[in-house]
Amino acid sequence: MLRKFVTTLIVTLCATGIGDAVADEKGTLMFSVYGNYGSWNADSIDNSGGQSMVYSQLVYDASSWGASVTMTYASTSYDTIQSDNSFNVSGLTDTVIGTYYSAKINDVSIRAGVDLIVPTGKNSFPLDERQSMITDDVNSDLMLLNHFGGGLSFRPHVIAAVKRGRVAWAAGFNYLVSGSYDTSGDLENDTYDPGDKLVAVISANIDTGDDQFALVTLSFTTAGRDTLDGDDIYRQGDVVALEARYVRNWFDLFKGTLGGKISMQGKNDIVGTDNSITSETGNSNGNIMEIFFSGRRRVASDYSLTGVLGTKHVAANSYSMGEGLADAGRDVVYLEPGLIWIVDSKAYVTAKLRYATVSDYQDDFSPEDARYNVITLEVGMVYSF
Amino acid sequence: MNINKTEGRITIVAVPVAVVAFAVFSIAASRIGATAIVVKGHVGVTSTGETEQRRVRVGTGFSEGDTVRTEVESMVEIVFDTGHTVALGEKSNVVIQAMSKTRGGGSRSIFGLSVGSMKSLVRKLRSKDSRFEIHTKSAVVKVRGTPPFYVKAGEDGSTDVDLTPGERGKVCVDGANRQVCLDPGYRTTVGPDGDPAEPFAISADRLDALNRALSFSSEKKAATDAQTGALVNHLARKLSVPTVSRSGNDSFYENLENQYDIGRGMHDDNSGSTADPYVSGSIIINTTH
Repeated sequence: MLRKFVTTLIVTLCATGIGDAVADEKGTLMFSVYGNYGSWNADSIDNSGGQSMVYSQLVYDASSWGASVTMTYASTSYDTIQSDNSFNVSGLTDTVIGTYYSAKINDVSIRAGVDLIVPTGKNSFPLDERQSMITDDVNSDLMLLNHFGGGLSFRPHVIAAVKRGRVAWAAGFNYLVSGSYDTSGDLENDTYDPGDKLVAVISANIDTGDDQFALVTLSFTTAGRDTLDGDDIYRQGDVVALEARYVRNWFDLFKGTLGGKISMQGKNDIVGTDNSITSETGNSNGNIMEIFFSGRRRVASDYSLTGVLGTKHVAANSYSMGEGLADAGRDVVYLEPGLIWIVDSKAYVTAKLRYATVSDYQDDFSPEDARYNVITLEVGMVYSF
Repeated sequence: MNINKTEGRITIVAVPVAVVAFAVFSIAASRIGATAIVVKGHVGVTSTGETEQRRVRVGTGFSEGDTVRTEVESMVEIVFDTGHTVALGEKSNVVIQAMSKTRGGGSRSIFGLSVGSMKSLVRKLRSKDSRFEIHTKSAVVKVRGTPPFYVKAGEDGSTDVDLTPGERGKVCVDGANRQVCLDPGYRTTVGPDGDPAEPFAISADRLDALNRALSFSSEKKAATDAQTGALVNHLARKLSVPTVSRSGNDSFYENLENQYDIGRGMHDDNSGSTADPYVSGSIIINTTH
C-alpha cells in the first residue's frame, strides 16, 4: 500500500513538474566520463585482485528539474585462498535513469524524483562462480564495485528543507522497490527477490560563522525480507548512522573538512534450524566508525590540489570464532592526493590516487590476519554543453 | 482703499513666502532620500554642524553632509531614492559628501570613505551628469551602473576595489596618475600613494569571503536559498543517483563529492553514497569554480 502510494505520488509530481518546467526553463547538458583502475593484494595470504571501470553520465539540469543516465562498464578479477577458481566478471553494470523535480512552497524547498534501475548488468552467476566470490564484507574496502547487477527496480525519493535562524533543516526518504532476478541461470527455482528498502534521513546545515559551517546527518535504513523462490530467507538488520562534518576555510586558499561517521546495525533475520526466518542469535554486523580530513589548496586560478586522509574502524561482531559468522572486524587507513584542473568554463578534469591499507583480522571468513594494500587511480572529465 | 492696503499687505507677505516656499521646494526636490533598511550592532550618524552622534536604527534617514560610523561587528544597509543600495561594513567611517539630483534629471551620489569597507549596488545612471563616486585617501572609484562592488579603505590609506561578476557594468578607479577600469569579476588594489594595479580576476575564495563579510539583505535571502538548496543536494546524493555538477556553477565540495559518488554511490547496494569521504553543502553558489 505504502509502495503504491509513494510511487504514484512521486511519479505524478515529477511528470507534472517536468511538463511545466520544460516549457519555461533552459537547462545545461553535461557529459562526464571517468576511468578508474584499482589493484589490491594481501601481505600474508595469497589474496589479490583488481578492478577497472569506465563510468559515464549524461545529465540535463534545468534547475527546477533534471534527468540523468548513468552507465558503467567494469572488469573485475580476483583470486582468494578460499576458492580454487578465480573470480572474473566483465561487462555493463545496471543502468540508472534518474529524474527529479524541485519546487519552493513558501520557504520550504522540496525535491521529488525517481530512479529507474535497469538490469543491464550481470545478475546471474553459476554456482562455481558464486563459490569463488568474496563473502567477507572486506570487499567493500578493496573494490568500488561489488554489486554487478540486479532486477528491474525503481527508487522514488522526497526531500524537504527549510531554514530557521542559522540552521537549515532537511528531511527526506527514499523507497527502493527491488525487482527479482534469477541468481544462477543454471538452476531452477532460484528466483531471488531482494526486500524493498526504506532510507530516511534528517540533516542540519549549521552556519557556525564566517567561512565555516557544520553538517550533521542522521539516517535510518530498514529493509524488507529477501525471498528465494517465494520463501523468506533473509532480512538485513536496521542501520542507524550519524555523520558530522565541519567545513571551513582554514587559511587563505585552503578549504577543508573534518568529518566523522558512526554506523550501527541491528541483527539480521536468517533462516533458522526449523526453516523459518528468525532473528540471528548474535549480531553479525559490527559497528563502524570513520574519521577523515579532506582539503583543497588552490595553487593557481585553474589548478587545485586536493587530499583526503582518513581512518575507518569496523568493530568485531558478537559471534565467537567457530560459530560460522564471526567477523573480527578490520581497520582501514587511507590517503588520497589529487588535483582539479579547470580547463575552461565548460570543462574540468580531476585525477586522484588513493592508497589504503586494510588490516583484516582472523575470523570465520579469514583464516589468518591479513593486511591488504589497495591502490586506486581515477581520472575523470566533465564537459558542459 | 482698505482693499488696496490689504492687497499690498498680501503682496508684501506673499512674495517672500513664495520665495521661501520655492526655495524650500527646490531644495527638497533636489535632494535624494536615503533610509537605513538593515542595521546590525552599533551604527551612529553625525550631521553637519552637530557634535553629538545619533544612533542609527531601521528607518533612520540620511542627508548630505552626514557622517556614518559603524562599530565592531556592526553594519548598516542604506537604500536611496535613486535605487542605489549601499552596505557599510564594520569599523567604517563614511561621509555623504553629495546626495542630490542634477538639473539634467540625473543624480550625484558621492561618498568619502576614510576607513572601512563599503559594498554598493548602483542602478544604471540616467544622464551624463549623473555620478556615483567613492573617494578614499588613495583613489576615486567611479561607476555607471554595475553589479555590486566592494571598496575597502585600509587604515594605511590603501584601497581595494572588487567588482563582482555580472552581465555588464564597469567601475573605474582613479589613482594619483592613472585610471584603470574594472569589468565584472575583476579587482584592483591601490597603495597609499600609488596608482591602481592592473585589473586581475577575483578568486572564488575571495568572493566567498567578501560575500560573507558584507552582503545586502536581498543577497542574504539568496544565501538562505543556497543553504537550503545545498542541503537538499546533500540529501539527494544519499537518496538518489548522484550526478556530476557544472564546473563553473557549483562549489568545490559538491564537485568532489559528486565525482566520488558517481563511482561509489550508485553501486553501493542502492543505498546512496554512505561511504563517500567528501563533504557537501557549501552554502556558497555561483562562484567561479
